[in-house]
Amino acid sequence: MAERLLDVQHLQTHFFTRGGVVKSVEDVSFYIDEGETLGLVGESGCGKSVTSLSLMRLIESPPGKIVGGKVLFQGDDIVQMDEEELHKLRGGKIAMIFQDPMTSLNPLFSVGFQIAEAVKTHLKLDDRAATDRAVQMLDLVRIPEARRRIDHFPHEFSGGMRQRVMIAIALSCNPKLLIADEPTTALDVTIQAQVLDLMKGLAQEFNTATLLITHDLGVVAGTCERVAVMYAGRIVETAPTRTVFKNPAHPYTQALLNAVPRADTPRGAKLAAIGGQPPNLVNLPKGCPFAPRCRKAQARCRVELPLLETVGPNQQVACFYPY
Amino acid sequence: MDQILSNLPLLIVVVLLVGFLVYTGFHIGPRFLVRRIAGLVFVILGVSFVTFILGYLAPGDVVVNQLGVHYTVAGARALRHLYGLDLPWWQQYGNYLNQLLHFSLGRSWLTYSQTVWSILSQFVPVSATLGLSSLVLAAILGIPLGMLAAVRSNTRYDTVIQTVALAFYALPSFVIIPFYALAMVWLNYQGLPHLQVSGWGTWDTMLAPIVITAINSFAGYLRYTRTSVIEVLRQDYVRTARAKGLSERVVLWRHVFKNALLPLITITGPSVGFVVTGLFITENLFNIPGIGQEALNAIISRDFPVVQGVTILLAVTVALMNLVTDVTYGLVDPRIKVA
Amino acid sequence: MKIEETPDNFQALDTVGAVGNQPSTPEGIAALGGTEQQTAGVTQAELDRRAETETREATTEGQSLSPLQASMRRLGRDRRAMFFMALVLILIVVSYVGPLVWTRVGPTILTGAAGLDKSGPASYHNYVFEDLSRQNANSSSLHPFGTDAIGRDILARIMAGVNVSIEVALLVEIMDIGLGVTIGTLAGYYGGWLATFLDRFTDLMFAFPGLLFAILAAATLGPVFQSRLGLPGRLILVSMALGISVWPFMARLVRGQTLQLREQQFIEASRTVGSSNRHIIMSHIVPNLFNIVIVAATLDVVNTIVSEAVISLLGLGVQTPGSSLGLMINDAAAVIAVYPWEVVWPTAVLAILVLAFSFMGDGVQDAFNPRTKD
Repeated sequence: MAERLLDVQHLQTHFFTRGGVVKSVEDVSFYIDEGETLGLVGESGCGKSVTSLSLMRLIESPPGKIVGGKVLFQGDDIVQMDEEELHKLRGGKIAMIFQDPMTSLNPLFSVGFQIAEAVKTHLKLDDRAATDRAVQMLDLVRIPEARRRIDHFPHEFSGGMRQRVMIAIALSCNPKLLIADEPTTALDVTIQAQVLDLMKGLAQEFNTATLLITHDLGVVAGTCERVAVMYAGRIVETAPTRTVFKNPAHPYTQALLNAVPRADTPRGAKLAAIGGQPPNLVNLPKGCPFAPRCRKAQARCRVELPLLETVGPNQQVACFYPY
Repeated sequence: MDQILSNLPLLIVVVLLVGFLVYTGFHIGPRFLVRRIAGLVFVILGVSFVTFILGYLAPGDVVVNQLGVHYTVAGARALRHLYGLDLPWWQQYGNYLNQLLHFSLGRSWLTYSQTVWSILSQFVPVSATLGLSSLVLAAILGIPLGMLAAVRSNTRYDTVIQTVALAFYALPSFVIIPFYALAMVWLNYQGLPHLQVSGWGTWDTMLAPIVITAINSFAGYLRYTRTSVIEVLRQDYVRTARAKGLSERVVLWRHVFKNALLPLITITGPSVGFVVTGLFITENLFNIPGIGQEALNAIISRDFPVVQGVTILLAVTVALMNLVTDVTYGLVDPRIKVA
Repeated sequence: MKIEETPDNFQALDTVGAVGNQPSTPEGIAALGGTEQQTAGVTQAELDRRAETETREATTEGQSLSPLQASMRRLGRDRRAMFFMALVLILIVVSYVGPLVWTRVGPTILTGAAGLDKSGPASYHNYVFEDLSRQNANSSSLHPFGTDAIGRDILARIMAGVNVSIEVALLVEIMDIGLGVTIGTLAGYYGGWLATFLDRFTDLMFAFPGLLFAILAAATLGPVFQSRLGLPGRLILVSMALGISVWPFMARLVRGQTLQLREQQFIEASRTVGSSNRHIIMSHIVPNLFNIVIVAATLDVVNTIVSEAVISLLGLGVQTPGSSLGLMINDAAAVIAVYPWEVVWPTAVLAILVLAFSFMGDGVQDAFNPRTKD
């Protein structure tokens, strides 16, 4: 098998707080191949964002720390990298888009400067070439009159446009991997689809693999080739998108899907909410973390922790009683 | 008006200021500027009115005090007429405002031959030197140290800086001065080199007042910078900058510093006000012939034109500094134009 | 440089930031198939962050706490703040109870210029008693801190001086909170001319430093107050002058907070069920001002104590035979080289007083307003 672009193995990221150790990411493994799009799905607070920041080593430390596992990127372990290697990696090989476009751009610098800054750092271009690149990127993310707009400041752009600027910054250095952490959550619905389409199209054009982090299965359905479902700091199921929607194995995945309204849901029917609360990440219950909320939970689930096991073609699930 | 013309440095300052305001007025929008200048007029009216009323209500008769043993009814009446004190209060105030319109602050009651302007122009340079040098000293030491404390926040390093800064921030200069004076007396007694504890004009008299006046503002800058930098460090755009692969130094000095500077600009105006009040103490205890001392003498000898002149001058200085900082803010922050 | 106020454009910036957090419509998210409840006005990151802190806080204590309880607990855990709070309390207690004890301790001695008058501690440990046979006396068992130029016991005068500092601080804070909260809430809730007036007034106070105003008022009106009200007249005058100069800042702070609160959903909810404005202000807005008011007031005590000392130091505050730490420093400043203790003791006590209040205030700020510090 060819080398994976990104291979995350048993990643653990903990936060050491006065209230105890918050195990935000506890044993996360997944991979992404070149040019592929993986969706990482889960409720808020399940460790999706921490996972993505860990991949870039952007966890605030202290209190956060990667305490175990490997993040192999083109064979090199990011966890072991020194500052200099990280600076080359960040923005150059792996780029990231954040959730809130309104606060993710520095208000005091023009957008052109903020794009050119990344280009100058990684592609070693001079000012003029970097500016040209910035214009080109703004054009690519379909911001009209790019040549004029590069001198504008973030506050002069709408939310959707700012997120496009973020995409422009992210892709400006031809990264191999794009991490998009809830890129459309803060945007209007109409804009969401546009931004997603744009991101997907450009990722294909640049042959950039994408890790799309979202709580929204609707977003995953239209964008990703494979899906990893996360719960309480662990991956509970990973499978091709089609499989997940047609034949979800983990009860949590099933519950998530049942909570999504669909075109064929009868009018007036109630959506199935998932009862209970996600577990406290400081004192995780023994056994399967989903057991307290799981309808199918058996005695075994409460004492023993299920590990990821292959149950179908490309489908892995961490459950003793799948389907 | 000719008093102003005779004072060239002042004229230069005024021209520079007006130039700066006009330039930025075009940059930020004239409405902003007009509103602020209207505010300035209001400040002058308010300050002059408050000082006037306080003087008007003050007990004791200036004229009687001044004439002393030479008091005669006719003499007192003449003097009252000269000072305009025989008019009703609103007319007195009206006359004063009229003077202000002509850029005149009137004449001193104590030494009638001197205009308030000429008295002030003797004392202002001393206080300006003292105030400005201590402010500059405070800023160039406080801001970098504040950044350091923020970057190392929650380490032992930071705790020490924080505690010292808070102590410096809280301790008023008149608590420090006696101990300084004692130390110098002791050094003198031991025949060791020491600085002067009184006077003004040579470096060995100027050093201590400047440093001691700077201490409060220094600690203030330090604490403000620290808070501000910490606040900026947790902004999303700093994470974006890091995610771009910029080195920590570039992140800090380019993305963090400029943003953290904004609130610092806004405190510069008020800190001028604080230095101004600090002058009263420092000048008093170090026996420095500055504006604070002069104001105090005038207050005690009830030389109200001088008191009024000083308060208006100080208030206008502070208000102008506030104006200039606001405008600077507008220049640095692109968002202000639209806001 | 002690500024409790965020100037105008700062607030303008806040508003800019707030616009940035405008939500996507909740219906919109549901339509696309959101798997979780979205609270309007809150972004995902914010929810995540809240969930995280809630988990942390809840697990810290194992029980849920009201915000006030949580703040008090944070304060209780802050050792430095607790130490200085204890110090403040000790200083206050000693300065009030101390004189009662001190005037009963000591033998009967001979006093007076000729050394012929018999006096007990009730006299010579009273802060106004002049013992002309013991002028500028160094420390002794009779006068542990020595005596001043006219033979008054420095310890007794220091205790009386601390009383003055505390009383002025108390009076000023009453004015500050009373006027500041009332006017700030009204201006924030109703806006209009009150808000405009407040803006102009604060502009004026920004330019006309409060201390300068207080100095001026103390100098010009001092004699009137003293002749009408006796010795406490000066103290009342100084307190009033300082109170007048500080409340606008409190009011601005309160107004800012009220403006924010007014837009909150629970106020909106209260309004939809027909609550009167009066009810909303009294039961929803005022209680929520507690934190910022307590923080601002604690920090302001330091300014007040310093300002009172400055005014007395300039000879414009409390007059002899009354006592004030600033007055004591002023009285002895000229002879510092000869009788250093006469300056050192009051200065040291003033320093301790100011530091104790500052460190306590710093702790209170951290505890009640945790966002201001890491």
